[in-house]
Amino acid sequence: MKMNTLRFGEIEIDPKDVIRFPNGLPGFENLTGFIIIKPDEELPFSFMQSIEDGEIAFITTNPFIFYPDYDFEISEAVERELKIQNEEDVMVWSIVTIHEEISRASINLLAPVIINIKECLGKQMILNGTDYRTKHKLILNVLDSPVEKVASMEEEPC
Amino acid sequence: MLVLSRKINESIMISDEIEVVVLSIKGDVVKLGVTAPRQVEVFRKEIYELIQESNKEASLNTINIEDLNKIFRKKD
Repeated sequence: MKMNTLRFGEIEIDPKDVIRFPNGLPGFENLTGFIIIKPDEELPFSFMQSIEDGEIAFITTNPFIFYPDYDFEISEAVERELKIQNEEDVMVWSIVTIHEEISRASINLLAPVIINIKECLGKQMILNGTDYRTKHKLILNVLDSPVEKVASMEEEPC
Repeated sequence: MLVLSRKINESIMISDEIEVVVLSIKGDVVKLGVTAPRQVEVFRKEIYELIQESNKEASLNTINIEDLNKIFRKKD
């Protein structure tokens, strides 16, 4: 299936790669299908491209690279909604906000994107009773060493 | 919108599994207790709105791959 996107031009979508977000994302409740595009193997960033709206794509990253102590529990509500049965099937992404002023890039730790790669289901989970916020600074020099380790975590979902 | 008035310790049932009770009223602050099955999510509305806004802002990213590369390239 082909589609036109703002950032990547025309792309080919394999239905097997589509991750379903039954409730969309807060602010984009009508967008229920996304694919992950990783433009550069060496960079720990991916794009979550909407398959319904070519203009919408979120920059995501593995939050643990920047905040190794990041810790939260997946709620029972989310476990059930994503049909999670094994820890190994879970992938966690955080949405990153980057505009022209790169030094102001931030990462949303209050609402991580949880993906069940076995079922190809996803949901952005809002953490309750936590001090995490929607804008944590993206610390750049952290990337000096762990980039290689990250590459192995970026498996193709589904 | 259904509008109901409640006094302290009075409740509302939402379907047959969710209960909202008024625990206390102090000045203009109403303390509510929510009992719901674990699979039902409950948040303060402004938190949900905060995430909506954050996502909308994030979706406006204008950065391209080359820029990402320049900034985040691993130093050797």
